[in-house]
Amino acid sequence: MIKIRSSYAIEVENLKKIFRTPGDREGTTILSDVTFDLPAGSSVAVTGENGSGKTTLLKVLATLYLPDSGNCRILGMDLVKEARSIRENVSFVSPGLDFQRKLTLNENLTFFAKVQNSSLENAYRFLESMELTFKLDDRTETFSEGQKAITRLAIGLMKDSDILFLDEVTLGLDVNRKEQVINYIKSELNHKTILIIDHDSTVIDRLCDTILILKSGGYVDRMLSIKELLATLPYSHEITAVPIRILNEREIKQLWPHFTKTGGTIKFHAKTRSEAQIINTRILSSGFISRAETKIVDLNDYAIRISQNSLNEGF
Amino acid sequence: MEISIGIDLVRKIIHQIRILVAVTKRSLIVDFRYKFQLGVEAAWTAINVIVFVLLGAAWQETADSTNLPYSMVTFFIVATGFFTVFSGVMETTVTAISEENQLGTMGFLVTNSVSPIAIIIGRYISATVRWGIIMITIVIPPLIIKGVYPSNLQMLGSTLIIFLIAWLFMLGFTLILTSIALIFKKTTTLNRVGIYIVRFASGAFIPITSFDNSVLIFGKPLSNYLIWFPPAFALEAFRWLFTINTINGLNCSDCGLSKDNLSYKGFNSIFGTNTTDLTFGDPMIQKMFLIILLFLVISLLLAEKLTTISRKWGTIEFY
Repeated sequence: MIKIRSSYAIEVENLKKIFRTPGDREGTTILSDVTFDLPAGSSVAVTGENGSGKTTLLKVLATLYLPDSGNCRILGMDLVKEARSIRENVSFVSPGLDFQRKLTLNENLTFFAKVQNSSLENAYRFLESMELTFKLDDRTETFSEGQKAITRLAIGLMKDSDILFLDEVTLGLDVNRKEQVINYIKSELNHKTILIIDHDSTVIDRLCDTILILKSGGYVDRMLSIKELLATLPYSHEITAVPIRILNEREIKQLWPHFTKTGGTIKFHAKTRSEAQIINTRILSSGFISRAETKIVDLNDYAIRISQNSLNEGF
Repeated sequence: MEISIGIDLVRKIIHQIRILVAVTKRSLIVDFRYKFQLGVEAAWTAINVIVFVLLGAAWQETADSTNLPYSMVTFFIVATGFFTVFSGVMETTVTAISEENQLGTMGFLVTNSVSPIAIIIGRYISATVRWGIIMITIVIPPLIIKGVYPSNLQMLGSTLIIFLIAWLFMLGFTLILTSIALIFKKTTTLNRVGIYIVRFASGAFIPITSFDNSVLIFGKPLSNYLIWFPPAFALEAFRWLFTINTINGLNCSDCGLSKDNLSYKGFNSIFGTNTTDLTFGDPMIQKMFLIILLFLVISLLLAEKLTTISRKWGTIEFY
């Protein structure tokens, strides 16, 4: 454990990353200009469309790649000059990073414990909570994708790092395992600085307090709290209604003017809780709706609207 | 202040050694899980020994006196043993980076403090153990049967020193070849060419004295220059150590007959060297270690530079 030399765990200023090959010196720019700071202990989701440089950003911060320009400090240490010290204090877990499949789970863990100069205790505790210790003596080539994901996390959590870079760590996990992983991170790692990439907005919603949105070309679109982000949605409640027959636009508008149709259901949008109550009273007394469900908007709604490019649709 | 810097340095060195041991052990475990491949490698070595012994026997039929103490059979069988280990070790090691990249393990290793240099050296050590076992079981028995081995303990000690020279040189050479894979991804042919050049220049196929009568450089025969190439020196010294009866045979005028029943001239008079007894006190050995040390430093700097470029370009994980 090192003494933090800065109030920020991660400081990134004008970070640029270009991929080159021997035949292509110009290269492909992945990150053009990324600037942000993260206080120690924060939990941040990195989102953005495919190709916006999310994984590359994490790989640069985890010292796998060198930045082309910009200033980055991790726990107050220079990302370029003090990469070795940084590696002792950060963990990077990604489905793109693998372990030797010919070794058993225990042999892989022992290997990483030795090279990290850490004990196996954290990894075993995590495996125990994931109920995977019975596979310790099995070769990892026989593992399912979910078991491999758990193994990667066990390796990542082994050295009790101050900063965790978690790239799609719940990919391949079944619902129960995903729940177990989320609960473990929430309860055991709540004091760590965590940077997460996950396409499942439920994971982000439950684990992160802040969101860093990257846009195409590798720029920071914005960084804000999840509360602030949800406030950009033009409604706060959503009532999902199942009609007893197909309703036309005019009939739906008579019930409530702000709605979207998705498959066989209608989603009514309310700006306030009292509006939601009014909608519920109207639709249930109309005789057109068989059942309805009300919920407060979450990150999933935001993600769906962003992916459909329809943030203000229905208003 | 100075003490704390010193302690920190010692701690870092110990950690690097731990990493090296862990990488070596990991490679060894994986290697010995591919048992079929081990069997094929052993069979390949046995075929090599048989073919080169026959080639040596055929060549010996027409060979004129060479002033060397060894027959062509010894010439080839020692070269086969030598390159069984070193070609095998190099061929196994040069794929270390591309194998890790194909498995997707490189990123996990680098972000967990295992540098490509540690991966290469660890693989080199484990490959030495693996090929050493094959050499001991397949190559050494025919050598012993033929009586080709050091005559006394002092010469056995010299054999080990010569092995160390060859091993360290090949480590540097392999480090360079393997690091190139961090930038250029298809390097199999380049590796083959590199290993082939080393084999040829070492005198594995023809004696380095073969062109001494026709090729003179600054009035000296070609072998007097080639002997300063560490693997050539090592291979030549091995042949001498296995066939001369005493260490004095290195520096004699009337040397008598070798174990192969050949009359020969002294090592120094053929190669223009000033070797004494092939121990650590031998000036020739000391110069060889100096050459290798410089070469190793250059190799490490080059490997470090290529690692930095591959992190900069993003090719470190590509395959």
